[in-house]
Amino acid sequence: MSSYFSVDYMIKAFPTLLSYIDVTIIVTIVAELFGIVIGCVVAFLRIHKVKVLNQVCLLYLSFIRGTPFLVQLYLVCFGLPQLLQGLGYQDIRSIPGLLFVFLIMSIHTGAYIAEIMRSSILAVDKGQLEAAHSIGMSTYQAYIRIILPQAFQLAIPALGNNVISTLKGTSLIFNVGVVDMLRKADLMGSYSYRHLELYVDIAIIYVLLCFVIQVATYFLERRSTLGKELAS
Amino acid sequence: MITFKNIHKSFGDNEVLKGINASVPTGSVTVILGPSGSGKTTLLRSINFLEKADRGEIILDDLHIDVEKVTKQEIHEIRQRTAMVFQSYNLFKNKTALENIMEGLIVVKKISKAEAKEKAIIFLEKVGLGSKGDFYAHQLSGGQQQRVGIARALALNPDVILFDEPTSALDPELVGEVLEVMKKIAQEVNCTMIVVTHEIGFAREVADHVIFMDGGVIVEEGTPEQVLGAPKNERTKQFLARYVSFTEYNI
Repeated sequence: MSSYFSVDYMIKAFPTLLSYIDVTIIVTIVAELFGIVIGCVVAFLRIHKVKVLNQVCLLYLSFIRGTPFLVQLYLVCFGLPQLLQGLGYQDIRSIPGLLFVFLIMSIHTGAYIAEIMRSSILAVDKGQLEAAHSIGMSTYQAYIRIILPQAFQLAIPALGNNVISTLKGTSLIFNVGVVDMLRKADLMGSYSYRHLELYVDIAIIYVLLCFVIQVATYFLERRSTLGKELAS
Repeated sequence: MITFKNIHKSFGDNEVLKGINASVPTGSVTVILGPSGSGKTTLLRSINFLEKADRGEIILDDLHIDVEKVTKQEIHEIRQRTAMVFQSYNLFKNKTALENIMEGLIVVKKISKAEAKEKAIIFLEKVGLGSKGDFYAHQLSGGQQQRVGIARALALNPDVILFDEPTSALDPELVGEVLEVMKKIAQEVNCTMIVVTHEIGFAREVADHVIFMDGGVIVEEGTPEQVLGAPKNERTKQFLARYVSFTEYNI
């Protein structure tokens, strides 16, 4: 059996692979944070049909949703530096590659969150904005204090989904030279010739991470006041 | 004093307001009556620009607004000087009753949080809900929600409070408690009240001035005695006939 599958090696390699989990987590967190900011702004511009910017947003959404993530990753991580060099910026090597990964992951996630937020903002009762206006709040104040807090509560299940897909999406970034868990497994495998054990390890780590996110989403949903309202 | 001059408003081909001229004296209680679709609510909502009228003028004391040329500042100012009570209460769902009242004080009036809380508690007690401060909207009954809505409007100390069918969504038992609070306000607080309602009894008892609207125009206006007691217009008589017969049944 051990010649086909070495449990010992699988267990031995696990801590090493696990030590690369930080890349996955950091990229996910950065992408989600910026993605939420981008998403909220785009959702607002779309709902209020702000001139010109609304069209720009539409273009952005259809580009991101219409191209594979890997293509976007190559465009930004390989194409963009070349473009910058062509434009006369020679110091391109001084920019860490991870920065380009952060950039495209945020832009990519932002597009999906924009649609999530748009639907959940539209799901907030129109009377809430009217009430805020009626007591003299500006639209901006109403969004920050009333509309978005409610929209986020409605969006928790969909956002949880988005975090999971972003997390799994990070497994592609080894393609542009970032060493994450998966890349480490590749490298280790080319020495030990035991790829199967290493990939099983990776799968286990991803399953555990996603499980944590699912549990967190569940508890957030239970805690939210709107959730209680819907349940009651 | 709040004055409307020649207010027009259409939704597509449907002309809802066909040139409304009226004025409401400061400190008075004005009740707007009329059948559904007569434009009462639209008129009320055009005051604080939740609905923007197509043309006309709205004058609130020294604030003179030409609807067609209205600026953001003017909308902001008239919203700061008015407050509204909604048919569907529209309490902020992510805030407790107390926070609902504090919200406008903190964000719009720029009062410190501690002071706003003190003030909010006073107003919550005024509407008889002193013990419900930490409840969320969904934990309160319709009548209680509406009373919080009234406290939220009152706390801002507005020149005018606009009531948009405040009891229409309530069952008959709860209507009473809300009307009671409104009566109390009319007596105690010196602010102008404009009330769109179907509660003829409330109009008769509390109003200083009654406006009857139908088909986007003001058909008849005057004191409650004039309009409700001795209506001159056929349409007003017809509308009131049903309510009169109600009371006769009760006897």
